[in-house]
Amino acid sequence: MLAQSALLVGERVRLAALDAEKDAAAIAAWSHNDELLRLLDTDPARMRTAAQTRQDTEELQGKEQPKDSCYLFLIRALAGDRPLGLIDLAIPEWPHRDGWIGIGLGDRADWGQGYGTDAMRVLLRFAFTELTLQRVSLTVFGYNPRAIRSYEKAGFVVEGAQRERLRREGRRWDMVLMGLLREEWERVNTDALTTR
Amino acid sequence: MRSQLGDLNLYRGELVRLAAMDPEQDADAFARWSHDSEYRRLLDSDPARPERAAPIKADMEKRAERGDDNGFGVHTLADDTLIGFVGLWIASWTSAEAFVGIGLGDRAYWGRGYGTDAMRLALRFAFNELNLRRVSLEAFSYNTRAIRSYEKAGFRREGTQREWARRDGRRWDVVSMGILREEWERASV
Amino acid sequence: MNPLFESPRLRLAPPDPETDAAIESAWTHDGAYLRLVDTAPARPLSPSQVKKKYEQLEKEKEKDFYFAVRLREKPVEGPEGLGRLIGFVRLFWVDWMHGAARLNLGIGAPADRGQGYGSEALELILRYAFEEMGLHRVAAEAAAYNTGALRFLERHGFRVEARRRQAVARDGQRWDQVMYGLLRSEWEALRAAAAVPAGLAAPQSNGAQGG
Repeated sequence: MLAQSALLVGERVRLAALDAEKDAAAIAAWSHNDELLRLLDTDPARMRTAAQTRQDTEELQGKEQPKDSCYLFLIRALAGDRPLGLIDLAIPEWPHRDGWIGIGLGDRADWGQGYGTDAMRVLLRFAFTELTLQRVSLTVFGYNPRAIRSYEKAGFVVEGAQRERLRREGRRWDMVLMGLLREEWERVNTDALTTR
Repeated sequence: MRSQLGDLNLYRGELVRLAAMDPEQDADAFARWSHDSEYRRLLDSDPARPERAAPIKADMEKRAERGDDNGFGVHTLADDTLIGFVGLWIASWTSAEAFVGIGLGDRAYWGRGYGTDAMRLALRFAFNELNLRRVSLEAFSYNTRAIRSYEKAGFRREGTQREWARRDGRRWDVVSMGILREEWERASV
Repeated sequence: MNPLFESPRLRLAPPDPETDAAIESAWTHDGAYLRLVDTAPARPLSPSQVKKKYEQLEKEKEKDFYFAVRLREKPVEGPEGLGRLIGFVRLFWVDWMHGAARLNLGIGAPADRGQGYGSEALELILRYAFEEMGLHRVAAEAAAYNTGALRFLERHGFRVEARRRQAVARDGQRWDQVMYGLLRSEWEALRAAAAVPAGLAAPQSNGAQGG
């Protein structure tokens, strides 16, 4: 038997499919959280309406990219099934088995509650046990020390930083590169691999 | 340029080289080969029928646009004639497996090691560049020459799908073959 | 003002689909070239695929500055007398808001390598990045097996900013991906140092190091 039966369910959240129709309103509301946008992306922070978000999502999901190159999930709270945020894993070049992770929780009130940590734990398990990746990567901005700490807790190691890669509020900030190897993840997650 | 990679020239074998398929130049040859019913019946289970160049060209263009197609034209090293094709179809990236298909349309090159050489190049691409774990193929039991060539390239018989095909009023088995990365590495040291 | 597109031996020009596609297609049939130039699975491109690529680049030209590198030799070959195509240089993922871009460069034919063309093309594109586009930084990357590229970047002032461990798999081995960056300030200091006239190099060397 395989060790994992509930692959996409954590202790507090589950990773669900994104429904362009039903989830657009919630995602559009998150785009008014300017702090989130500036922690998440290098693009100028822009708000989106529900209709725009629906269209973005449909475009993204309808894109003619190979199905296995991008996994996008809606993070839902186990209690009440409320949508909390988005998490995605992109594998641009499969031969190298390196996946890039992006994660964001939409509502400030949900930050620091352990939802993100749990979602990351579930996604890492998915990345290593189901997708059989060799490593996962992410970038995080120098002005986001809380995220860096949280990724370190999840096992990521700082591998370097692109110096002065970002300009925001009149200052230059580094873009930190983090990575987590399969072996490192396996050492602390032996239970995910053993059949009970 | 200096490099620590050992095996830099991926596409050159001893008799053939692999090249991108060029819809403009290659479609005519594929159309010509499709008039050879024996070739077609060795290749796949579709009812053999001759084809025009135009739809073949359109199909090649569609593949070329994808950008992640692993199909190659097989050209002789001696005079760069296009003599066939070899292609890998990724069955699953997570299990890192591909199916390989190969065909030499030009009969003058059958039974002379050209196919085996092209297959060796396809395997090198599969294991050294795409980093796959196994490569699989299927062959009709009546295609004994191909099966011998696959064995020479390192494939092992893994099973038989009994009476899978029906041709000339008979039923034929399909032989499943595979090669694992470790086997390939041992053989290519 | 110094010419932006010409160095002593080279010229930056747009790619010409009619003449260049066949040449670039030939480069991509050399597996060594593809595996040194980036980490994408090395697949040869037909001339028509190369043409499609040029069309695509034209569509994305706000964020992708792609130049053909041509030889200013005589007699002049190539389209409109612009010279024989020997390689490409490219600033991509241009992030205007933050003033950053990523660099890639390739000299296509083995016979054209090892002659300093890469360095000359790099000098042109860096000047273009910093003085024409006004960027703040340029990034580049190379797999750890590509020792030639690592040395090339370091010789031209790029600093190692990160080692993405085991990020590249080839020939059944795992290699680090080495990430480089060059800031405008560093590039300016290097240029100032290089601009010292040969005869005066010794007395001014201390000052140049301080810049």
